[in-house]
Amino acid sequence: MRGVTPRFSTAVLRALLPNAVRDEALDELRDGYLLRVAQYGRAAANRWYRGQVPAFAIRVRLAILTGGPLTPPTELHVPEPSLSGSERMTTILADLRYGARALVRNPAFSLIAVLTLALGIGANAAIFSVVRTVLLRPLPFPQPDRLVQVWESRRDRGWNQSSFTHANFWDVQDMNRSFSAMGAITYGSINLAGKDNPELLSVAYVTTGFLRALGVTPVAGRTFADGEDRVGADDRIVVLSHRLWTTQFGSDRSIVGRDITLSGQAYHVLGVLPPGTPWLDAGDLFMPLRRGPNEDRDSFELSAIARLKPGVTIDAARADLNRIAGQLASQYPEAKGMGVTIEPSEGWVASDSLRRALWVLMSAVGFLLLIACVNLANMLLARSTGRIRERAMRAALGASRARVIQTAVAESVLLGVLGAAIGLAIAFGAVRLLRAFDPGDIPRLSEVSIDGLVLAITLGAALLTSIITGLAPALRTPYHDIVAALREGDRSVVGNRRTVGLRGALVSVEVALSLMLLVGAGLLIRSFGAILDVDRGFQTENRVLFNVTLPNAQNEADVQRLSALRTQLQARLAALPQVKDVAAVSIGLLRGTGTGMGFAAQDKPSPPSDAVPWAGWRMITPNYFKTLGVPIVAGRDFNAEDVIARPWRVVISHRIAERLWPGESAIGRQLILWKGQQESVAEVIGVSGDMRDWDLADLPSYTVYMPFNGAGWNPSTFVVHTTAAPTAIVPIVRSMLAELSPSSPVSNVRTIDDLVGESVAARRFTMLLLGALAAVALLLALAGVYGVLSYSVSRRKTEIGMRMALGASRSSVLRLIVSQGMRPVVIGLAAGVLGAIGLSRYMASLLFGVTRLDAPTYAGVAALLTVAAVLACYLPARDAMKVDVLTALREE
Amino acid sequence: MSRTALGEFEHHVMLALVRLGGRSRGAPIVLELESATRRAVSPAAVFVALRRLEQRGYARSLKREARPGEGGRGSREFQITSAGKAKLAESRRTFERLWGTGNPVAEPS
Repeated sequence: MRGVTPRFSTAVLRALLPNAVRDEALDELRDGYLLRVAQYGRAAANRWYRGQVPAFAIRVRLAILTGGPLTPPTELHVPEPSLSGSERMTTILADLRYGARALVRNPAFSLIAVLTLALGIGANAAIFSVVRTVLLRPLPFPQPDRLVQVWESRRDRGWNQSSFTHANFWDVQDMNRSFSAMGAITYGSINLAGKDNPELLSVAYVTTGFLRALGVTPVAGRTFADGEDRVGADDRIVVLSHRLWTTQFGSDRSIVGRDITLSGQAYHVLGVLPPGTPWLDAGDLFMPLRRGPNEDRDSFELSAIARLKPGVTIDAARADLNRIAGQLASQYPEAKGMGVTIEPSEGWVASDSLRRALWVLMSAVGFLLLIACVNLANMLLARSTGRIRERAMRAALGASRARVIQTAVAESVLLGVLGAAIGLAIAFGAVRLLRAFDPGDIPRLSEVSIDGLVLAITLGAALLTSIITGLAPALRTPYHDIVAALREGDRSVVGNRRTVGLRGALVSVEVALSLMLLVGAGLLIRSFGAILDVDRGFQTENRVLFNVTLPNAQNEADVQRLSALRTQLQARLAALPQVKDVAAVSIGLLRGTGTGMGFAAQDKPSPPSDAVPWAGWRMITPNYFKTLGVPIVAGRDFNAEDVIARPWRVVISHRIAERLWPGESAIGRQLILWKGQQESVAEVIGVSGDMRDWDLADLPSYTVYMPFNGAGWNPSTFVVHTTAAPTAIVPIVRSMLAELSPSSPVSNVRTIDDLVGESVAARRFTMLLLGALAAVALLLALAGVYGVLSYSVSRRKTEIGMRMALGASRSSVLRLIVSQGMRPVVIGLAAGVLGAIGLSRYMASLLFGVTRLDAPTYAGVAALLTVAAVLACYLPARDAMKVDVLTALREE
Repeated sequence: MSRTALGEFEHHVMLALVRLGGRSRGAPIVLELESATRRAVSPAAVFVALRRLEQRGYARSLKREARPGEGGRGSREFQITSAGKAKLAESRRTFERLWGTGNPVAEPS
């Protein structure tokens, strides 16, 4: 504390005072001096101090002369080196009480601060719960890091990953030395005889190694034993999925060992699987995939998984399998070019794009929390500028630095705890909301909940956040220059220059962060708009799709029954007055998957085998194009006489025609189907308009259409174009089927509008979430801009009053304030645009129809932020113009 | 208990001490008195008065050594004693008796 009081006067006084009271008197005068600096400024305090020097010396000496010596203190209290635990607790409690009083005293501030923090924390807890459940929770299998997925590859055809053919799978399973178990799965469906209508269940056909590789322990009964996939073994056995067991059989354990009737046959229930994703929910029922005498090495149907033997690395397994593939390739002509791809099981739950989307969202909520923290720090800093004197005073009157910081932090910790509490409430609500908005393709979403870990992390984040934000202003108490702080204190124009600079920088950070979020949201919104506006090629109004299955269709006679059923149902439906058009197709629209093949023109040079283009193929009944509102560009549609493969006749989509015969007529040309495989040659009889029928985000598909007539494909997807309310047709279909084929269920009823909506549901989900986060971020940033500026305006009332008294016009004052407020905003905008350009690359794969550097988005977002920020600046500026010159001056 | 009446200034100092919560260092008492009396108050007078009050048993004081890292050396903090409170109460009663219930002096306007 040396050098606090005027040096010369202090030295004089020191010389004049009697020894016994010297130190006490100097302390007393120093205290008084500091208080006066605080109240009246340094010059006045200096005058006062100098005036006291003679008076003090004279008075004290006189008092001692007349009244005897002045007593020493009654008690001399020597402090212990540090506080005991209980004392420290007491000071902490006292500080918390003090903090609570400070918060209550300023309810508006406290409310905004707590809500700001709560939003940031709540959003984080909610999204983190999703990320944790969907991406981070381990697979429901023992040692999931030993599990791998295995694919075939055919580099000669340009395929890096393809499903396994039956024969190749069995050979790889038998010959490998790397796996302790290997299994394959494929899918089908079966009817469960129900009370009213037959119900169609999905079946997962698995080899016995499949569940063994996963390491699944059944909830009841057992899974398949070795040899139960052999031909000739009892093939009426089934393992129930947990879902079917709970929904259809009321979790009844006694179902194990009993028979259930599926498609008119009795099946023996072996056991029940545990719940879980993936694989365990792959079908309602699991049945053995039989190891038949299937020597087909050209039909890619099986998904394969395996468990690595202990000590075997993925690389070693890959080498082992490629050795086997090489043997098979040299042995069988169909396996020419065969290789294998092995992938770890990490990607089983969430697809790459879902992963990407969730991480983008997680970063977004991280940004939001950052903005909330910056906002809070800014608010606390604003207030601390107003309270610097309070703290400087406490320091001057003997409070230790640690204690002053403890008091300041106690207050922000209170804010943090309150924020966390409300934030968790928000998170609980948000998770419920997320589950309600389930877009359908986020796995495990229904399992998402706020658990202990999320709670702990949330609380930890809240405390850390609040301590850091509380520490910043506390550390700004200028212990080294208490006098300056006391003098400047509240009276400084807008806090000292460094604080102003820091607060401006914080506003810039907020603006930059929210601009990045807004750009992200903007890009997703533009993508979403683009995907809905894209030319789909087909019409959606008043069109409904549904599947009709003919159970147990297996042999040649059933092919006739299938064709007959399709034809009869189509004819009956077409006769209805409310039906405009009706058709059937092998694979419905917008499924994202389907059947495919390589193709080439017979009359053109063949492309190299790894550059053969790939087309989807669909079997359709006549009238398919008309029902969907798609034009026949050239040639003709199929008619009742066209039968599949007798001879091969196809309709091709316009893009295929343009690719193979650009500028020429495709009609009558020869098209090679399944190029590189069975290579059937077909005559092109028609060219249809292009459709984006795989995924709206894909280019219009290359599609080859073949007649449905004569095909044993099951189920058939019917498309009906009605005059109104398309789903009203479904009960009529059911009653027609009751006559035509009583065991045939109707399933997957969807209008095309529904399908379009479902196909973009995940996008909508991400877009809405990011949009909401960006909106909150914008609000917080604006609150920051507004808060800082309005505070500085309230501090500058006098200055503004003077300016106006000296003739400044209202508009010039307005300009002054707004330009002051906009400076950090403009810096933030610039930084934000750069940040957004950098970060947008991580979301490029989520975009459609816009580039990640889409100028209109950036410009629009920057304009929105600018306008909003000007508005946020205008409000305090308007207050500034209302400053009454006289009042303002009198306050000084 | 001392029979000697409080001097006016001593009386003021004690009341200021009470107003500051019963315990305070010297400097805040000076400010408190200045704001109450609207006159400059000599810190030396307060300095002496506090120590005389302590001698008479109306106040006690405590000197705390500064801890390392704390601002300032330890200043002396004065507390009013129960004798001090009694003395204040007694002088208040004396004044009230002398004033009576009416208002014998018209306030100069």
